[in-house]
Amino acid sequence: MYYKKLYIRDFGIFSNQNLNNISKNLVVIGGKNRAGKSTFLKLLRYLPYGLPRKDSIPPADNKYYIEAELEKENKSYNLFLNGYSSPEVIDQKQNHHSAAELFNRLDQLSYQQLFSISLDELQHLSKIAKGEKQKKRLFSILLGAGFSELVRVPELADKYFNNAKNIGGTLGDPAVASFKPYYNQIKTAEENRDQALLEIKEFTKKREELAQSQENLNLKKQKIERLENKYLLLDLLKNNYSELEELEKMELELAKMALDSSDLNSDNLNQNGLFLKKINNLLSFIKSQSKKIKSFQKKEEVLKEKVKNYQLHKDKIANNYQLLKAEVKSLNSSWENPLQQLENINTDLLKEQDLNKKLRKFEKLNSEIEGLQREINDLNAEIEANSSELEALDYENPAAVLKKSYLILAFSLISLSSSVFVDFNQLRYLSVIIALAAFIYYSSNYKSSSLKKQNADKIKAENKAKNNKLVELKQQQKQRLEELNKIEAEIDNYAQILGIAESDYLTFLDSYFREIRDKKRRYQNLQVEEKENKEKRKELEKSLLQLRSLITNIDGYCNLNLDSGENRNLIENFSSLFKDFNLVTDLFTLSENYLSQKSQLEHTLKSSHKIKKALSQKNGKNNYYQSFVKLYREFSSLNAVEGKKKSLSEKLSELKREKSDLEEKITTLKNRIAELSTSTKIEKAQQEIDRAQTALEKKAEHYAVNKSVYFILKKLRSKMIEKAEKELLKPAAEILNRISGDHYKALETAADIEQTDFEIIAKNGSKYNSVEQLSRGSLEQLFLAVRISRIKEIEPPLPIVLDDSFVNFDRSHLYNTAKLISELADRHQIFILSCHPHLISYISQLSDSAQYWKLESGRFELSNQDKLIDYLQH
Amino acid sequence: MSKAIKFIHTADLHLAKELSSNGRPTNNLRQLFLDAGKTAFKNLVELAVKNKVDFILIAGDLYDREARSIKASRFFLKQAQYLNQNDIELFIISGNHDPAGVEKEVFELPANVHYFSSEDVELFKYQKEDKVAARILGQSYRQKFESRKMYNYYTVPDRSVFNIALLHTALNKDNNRYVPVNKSELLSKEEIHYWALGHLHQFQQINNKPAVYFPGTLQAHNISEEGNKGAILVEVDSNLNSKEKFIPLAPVIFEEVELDLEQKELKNISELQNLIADKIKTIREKIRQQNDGHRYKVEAVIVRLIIKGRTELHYYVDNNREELEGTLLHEFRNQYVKESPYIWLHSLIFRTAKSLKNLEELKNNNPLYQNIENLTNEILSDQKLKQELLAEWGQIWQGDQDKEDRANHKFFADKKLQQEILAEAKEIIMSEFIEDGD
Repeated sequence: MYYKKLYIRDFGIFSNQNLNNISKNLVVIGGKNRAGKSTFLKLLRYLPYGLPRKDSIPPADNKYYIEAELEKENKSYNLFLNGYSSPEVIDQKQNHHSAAELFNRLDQLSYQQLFSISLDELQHLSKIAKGEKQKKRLFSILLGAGFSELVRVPELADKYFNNAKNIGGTLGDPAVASFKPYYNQIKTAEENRDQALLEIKEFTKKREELAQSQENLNLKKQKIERLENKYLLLDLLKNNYSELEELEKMELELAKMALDSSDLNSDNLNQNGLFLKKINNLLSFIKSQSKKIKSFQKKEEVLKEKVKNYQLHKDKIANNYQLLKAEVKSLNSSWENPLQQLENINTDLLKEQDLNKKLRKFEKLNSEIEGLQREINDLNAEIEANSSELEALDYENPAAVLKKSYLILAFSLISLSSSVFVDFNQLRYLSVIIALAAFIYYSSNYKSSSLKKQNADKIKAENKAKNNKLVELKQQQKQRLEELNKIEAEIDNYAQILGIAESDYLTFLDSYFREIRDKKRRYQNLQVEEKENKEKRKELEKSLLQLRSLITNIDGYCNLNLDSGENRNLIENFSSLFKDFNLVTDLFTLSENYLSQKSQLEHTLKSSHKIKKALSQKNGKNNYYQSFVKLYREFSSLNAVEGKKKSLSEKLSELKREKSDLEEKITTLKNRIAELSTSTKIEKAQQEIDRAQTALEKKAEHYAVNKSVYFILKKLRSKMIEKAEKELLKPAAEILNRISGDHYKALETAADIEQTDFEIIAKNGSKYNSVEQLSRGSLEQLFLAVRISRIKEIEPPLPIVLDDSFVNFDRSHLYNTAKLISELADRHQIFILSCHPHLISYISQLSDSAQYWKLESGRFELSNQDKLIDYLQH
Repeated sequence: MSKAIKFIHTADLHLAKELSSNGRPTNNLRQLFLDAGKTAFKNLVELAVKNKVDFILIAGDLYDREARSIKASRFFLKQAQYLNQNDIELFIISGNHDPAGVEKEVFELPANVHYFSSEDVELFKYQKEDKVAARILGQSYRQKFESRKMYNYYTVPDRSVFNIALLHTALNKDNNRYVPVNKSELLSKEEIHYWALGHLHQFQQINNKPAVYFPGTLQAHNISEEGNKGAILVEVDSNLNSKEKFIPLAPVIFEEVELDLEQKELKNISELQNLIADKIKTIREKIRQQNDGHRYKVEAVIVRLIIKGRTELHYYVDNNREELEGTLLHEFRNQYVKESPYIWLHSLIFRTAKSLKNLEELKNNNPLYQNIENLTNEILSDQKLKQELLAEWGQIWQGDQDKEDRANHKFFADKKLQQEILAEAKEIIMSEFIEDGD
C-alpha cells in the first residue's frame, strides 16, 4: 500500500499543499528546522485513524482537511480527513471502506510505533511509555502481533487459575474446595451402597440361618413333645403310684395264689410270661365264674341260715321225739317202745267222733236212764199229786193265761221290730209264728182256764195218761239200758285198741284217747317235719355241692388251701365250706379290685389321646397299661419318680426357653429377610451418588474450563514468545548486526518477559542483560532493528515515515542504516524526513529510485538530490 | 436341513441399577424411572413369548455390580419362571458386573435357566423336536476383570447346526480387563454363525456374515447412553441363514440436546424460555412420531440440554449460572411430566459466551486470535499437548476411560467433551482480550 497523492488543505503549517505522483518507494523530504517535518510525520501518523483532540497536534487554520489517494493491491482509494471525524475511504467505484481496512486493521498504537518513527520512538520504552502498562504494551508491539494482548496473559492466567483453585484446588483433587461436599456425599453414598450390597450376602446368610433355625426348632419341638409326654407319664405315674403299688401288691397276691411253689422258684417265670398267663387264666376264670360267685355271695347268709335252720329244726324234731316219747311213756308206762307203740296204734280205726258219740251216748243213755228214772219217779209223784189235786181241784185263773198271752204277743212284736235289723223275712215269719203262738196260747189257755172245769175233768184223764206214760217210760228205760250195755261193749273195744290195761278206763278213756290222739298227731307232725327237713337238707346239699364244685373249680386255677376238701357231709361241714368260699370271695374281691383298679387305670390311660400317644411313643406297642407298668417298674419309689419329674421339668423349661429363643430368632430373621428383600437402600444410595456426581461433574467441567483457559493462556504466551524470538528477534538481530557493522550478533527477550527488556549479545560474546547497558546510539539502532523486523512481517506492506531518527548514529552506522532502508523501500513506501545532507547523500549513493522533495515553511516542492543537499547545506 | 429357530440376544441389563435422572422427579416419573429396567425386561419377555422364540441369550451383566439387590434377583426369578411356563430357555453368561466366581444367584432358578461355567467353556445343545437345533457356547467371567481368551476354546465339530457364541468383551485387543480380542480374531472361528456379544452399551453390528452384534444395554442408565435401547430378535431359517432385527424395548431413553443461541439475538430470559419450550416440544413431537405404531413405546425422555453460543444473555448466565440453571430446570421439569411421552430435564448446561461484535473480523485479522484458534486445535490433535491439558484438569478428570471402572468421584473427558470445554475456554479468552482491546 502506498500514497499516490496527498492534498493538505489545512493542517498546521500546511495549507493547500499538493504532493502528486509520490514515489511508491523511497520518498526523501528535506527541510530545515521548523519547515514542517514533524508536522508531516504527525499527519501521516494520524491520517488512518483520525485526529485526536490533543495539544500535540498542530492546529488548523480553519478546519483540518486532508485528502489522499492510495493504492493497495492495484486498487485506488481516496481518503478524506475532515476535522476530527474519522477518515472516509472511497474506492473508485464510490464504495466506502474503513481506513483500518487499508491499514491492515493495525491498531493505532502499533501503527504509530512501527510505521511512524521519530527519534522519540527509538528511546528506551520507559521513557516513552506512560506507565508500566503502556510500557508492556509497547514492548509487545515491538515483539509482534498480539503481544499487546499477551501482556495481559499472566494476569488473566492468574485470574482463571484462581477461579479454578476456588473450584477444585490447585490439583483438581476431588476432595477439596467446592468439590469437597459432593465428594463427601459420594463417599457417604458409596459406603451406604457397599453396605447395601452386603445385604445380598446377608440375605443368603440369613436365609440359611433361618432354615437351620427352623430345623433346630423342629428338633426342639419334637424333643419337648417327647419330654412333655414323658413328663405327662411321670405325672400320671406319680398320681397313680399308690394305685399301681396296690395293683402290684394285688398282682403279687394273685400270683401267690395262681402260682405253684415250683412256679415261684422258676427263673423264667417272667420271661415266658407264665406268671401273667397264670394270673390271667385265674382272673378270666374268676371272671367267668363271677356270676356264680356273686350269687353265692348273695345267697351265702341265706344258705348259712338255712343250714342253721335245718340243723335247729332237726334238733328240735329230735327233741320233740324225745319229749313225745317221754310223754307217751308217762301216758302208758307199759310201753317198752312208746313211739313204736304209738305208731302202731291205728288211730284211724279210732273214730273220735264215734268214740265221743258213743261216750256221749253212753253218758246220754246214763243220764236218760237217770232222767227216765226221775221222770218215772216224778210221774209217780205226779200221779199221787194228781190224784190228790183231783181231790182238791184247783183251777187256774183265766186272767193269768191272758197275761201270759200278752207277754208272748209282746215278744212277737219285739221279734217283728227286730226283724228290721236282722233277717227280715225269717224273723217276720218267726214273729208271725210267735204271734200266732200267742194267739194260739191265748185262745187255748184262755179257753182252758175258762174251761177249768173242763180241765179238772181232764186231770182225771191225765192221771190216766200218766200212768200210761209211766209204763211207757219204764219201757223206754229198759230199752236204754240195753243200748247202754251195747255201747259199753263198744267203748271197751276202744280201750283195748288204745292199749289200756286198766279197767277203769271209762273215767279217763276220753282224755287218754285225746292224749293218744294228740301224741299221735304230734308224732305224725314230727314225722312230717322230719321229712320236710330232710327235703330241705337235700336242697341245701345240692346248693352246697354247687358251691363246693365252684370252689374246687377255682382251686383248680389257684392254690386256696381248702379245708372242705372232698368231705361228703357238706351240711355238717358247711362252715369249712364257707370258710373256703370266703377264701374264694376274698380272691374274687381281690381279682375284682385288681381288675377294676386295673381297668380304671387302663381307662385313665386310654381316656386321653395324649397319654396314649406318650405311651405308645415310649414302648411302641399299643398295650398302654403294660407300657405304663413298665414305666412304673423303672422307678424304685415315688420319690424317684418325683425326682425324675423334677429334673425333667427343669430340662423342659430350659428346652422351652431355648425354643422361645429360637422362635424369637426366627421372627427376627424373617423380619430381617423381609426387610432385606424389599430394601431400597441400594437405590437410594445410587440416587445419592447420582445426584452428587452430576453436581460434581458440573463443577469439574467448570474447573476444566478455567484450567483450560489458564492452560491455553500459558501455552499461547510461551508459543508467542518462542515465535517472537524465532521469527522477529532473529531477523532483528541480523538487522542490528548490519547496522552496527557486525558488532552485535544476537537479540533475545529477557528471561522474564515481564521486564519488557531485551538481552543483547555482542559478537565478542559479551552479553548485555538490558538495553540500558547500551550506548544511546546502539540503543536506538536496536529499537530501529526490532521495528524494521516487525515491519517486515506485516503484510501487506504499509508506508513508513522516518523523521530524523538516526541523528545519534555515527556515519558508518548511518550509512548501514541508509542502505538497509533503501533496500526496505523495494517493498515499502518510505518517507524519510531529514535536515541532514549527508544522509541524503548516502541515500543518493545507495538508491537510484529515491524521490526528493524540498520542504520549506510548509511548502513542498519536488526536487532532486543535489539541489536538496545543496539546500540543506546552506 | 436344520430346524428353524428364533431367539433374542440381549446383554448388559444391569437389573436394579437406577436411572440417573438427576433431581427428584414427580411420583409417577420416579416410579417410571425406577421400574424402567424391569419394564424393559418385561417387554423383552413379552416379545419373546409373543414371537414364540426358542431361547434368550444374555451376554453378561444381567446384574449390576453396584446395584445388586434381592429385589432384582426376585424379579429375575419371576420372569425366568414365566419364561419356563412358556418353554423359553435362557442362556446366560456372567459379565464383569456379575462374575460367576463372586456373586451367586440368591434364589434357586427354574430349569430353563442355563448359566455358563466360569471355569471352562461350556457347550449347550438346544434341542427342538428331539433334534439339535443350535449349539450355544459360552463362558462366564470369573472375576471383575477377565483376561482369559476364552473364545479360543469355542470349538464346535461342524457348521451343520446354528452355532452361537456368547462373549462379554470390550472388543479391544489392548483391553486386558474385558477379554482382549478383535473382530478378525472372532471371525477366524469360522464355525460360529452368530457372535452374541455384550459389554458395550450401544447397539452395534460388528459384522454381517457371520453375524457379530452388540445389542447394547436393554435400558440406558445415564446420559452417556443416548438413544433407543433394546434387544436383537434373530430368526434363523432351516438353511441356517439368519435375519437380525433390533427391537427398541426401553421405556425411557436419554438424549443430549443442543440449543444454539448464536444469532438468535435474545433480549431476555423469557425469550430463552420460549426457545427451550419449543425445543422440548420438538423432542416430544419426535418421540410421539417414533412411538406411533410401536408396541413398546418410549414413555419418557431424560434430556440434557446444552445451551451454547455467543449471546447477549451470557451476562445473566455468567452472573447467576447456578441460580439460572436451577430456575429453568425447575420450570421445565414441572411442565412436561403430565402427559406421555414425558420429558424430564436431567440437566441444563450453559456453554454460552459473551456476544461480541465483529468477532469474525477480529478473529480473521488479529493474529492473536488465530494463534488461539490454532493452539486449541493443536491441543486437540497433539497427544502430548492434550495429555498436558488433561493433567492440568487435575485428579478429578483422571477417571478411567471405561465408565465401568471409573470411580464415582472422578470423570473422564471424551473427545467431544474435550472439544466443548476447550471451545468454551477459547471463547472466554477471546472475550477477555477483545474486551480489553476496546
